[in-house]
Amino acid sequence: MDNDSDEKLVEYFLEGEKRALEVLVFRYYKVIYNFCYRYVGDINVAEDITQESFVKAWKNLNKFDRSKKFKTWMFQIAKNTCIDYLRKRKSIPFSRFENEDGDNNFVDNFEDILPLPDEIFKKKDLAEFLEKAISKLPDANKMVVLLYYKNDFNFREIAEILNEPIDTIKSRYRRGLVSLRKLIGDYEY
Amino acid sequence: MEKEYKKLFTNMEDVEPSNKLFEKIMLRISREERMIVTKKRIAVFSVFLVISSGGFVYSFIATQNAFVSSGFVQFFSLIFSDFNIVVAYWQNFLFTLLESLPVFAVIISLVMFSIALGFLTFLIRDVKFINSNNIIRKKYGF
Repeated sequence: MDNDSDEKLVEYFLEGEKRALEVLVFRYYKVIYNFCYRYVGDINVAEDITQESFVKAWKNLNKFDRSKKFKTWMFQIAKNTCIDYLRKRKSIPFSRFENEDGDNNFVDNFEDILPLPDEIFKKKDLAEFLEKAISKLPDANKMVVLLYYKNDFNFREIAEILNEPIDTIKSRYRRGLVSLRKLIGDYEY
Repeated sequence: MEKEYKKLFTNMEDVEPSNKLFEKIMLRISREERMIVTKKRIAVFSVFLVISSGGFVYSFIATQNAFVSSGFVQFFSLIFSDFNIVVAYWQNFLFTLLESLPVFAVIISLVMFSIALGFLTFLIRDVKFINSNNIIRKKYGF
């Protein structure tokens, strides 16, 4: 069962195989936790939201459209749970660089995304540096970049998860990378 | 370019959740499962509680009537009106009291009362469980 596809596991679970759910949860709880943590920025809240997301997924597994990817669906639930939490806390973070339409004039003035300098990979504390650089990105762009590179989603899937048009996602991705490249470029090696 | 960024992001460390997160998730799910069962049980118990309470009230009234019609009340009232005679013939008096006691009606009443009390106990226990779960959910506003 451990090697079965997510969709097959959902099928097994709906047929009454409880272990299938355990396998699914085990497969995704760490990535979902990391996603929630990046969204809300608090490890304890991220744990609670992760739990809540899996409970919601369990409750709605019978409504899951098996022609779609379970991973995308799971991230969608986690994103909605994060938003629910932030709404209740009345603290949905809006990037100070972005206007209501999601336009980012600051970044739009930049040229195309530049290649990364070779020195960056020689950096000793690269993980820490990268973490800091990522945290400085506007939230909307940060999530797209992370979903793309950390969670291996394509633009269509990210659009589905974040419930945004694909063009918005592409533009956020580009802006995210431009901002990140600038932060990396500003660093003195 | 994309490969470079991909390589860059492999250097980004994941945040490790507490080592009990998996167990916590499974526990929450089983708790939710229990919640669903409990809610259904509360609905069933509520119906049974209403029925058994009605049954108890009905059997209680019937028992009251049985006490009057069997003569038990009249015999029993002798304790207050003719206490000396009751003491003198206490064995006969006791036998008469027992004979006039509407045993069947009393048993039915007690059974109905026990059933209603049982359902009430289960109902309180289940409502407490639901409330404790709701407190956990409300903690983070879900």
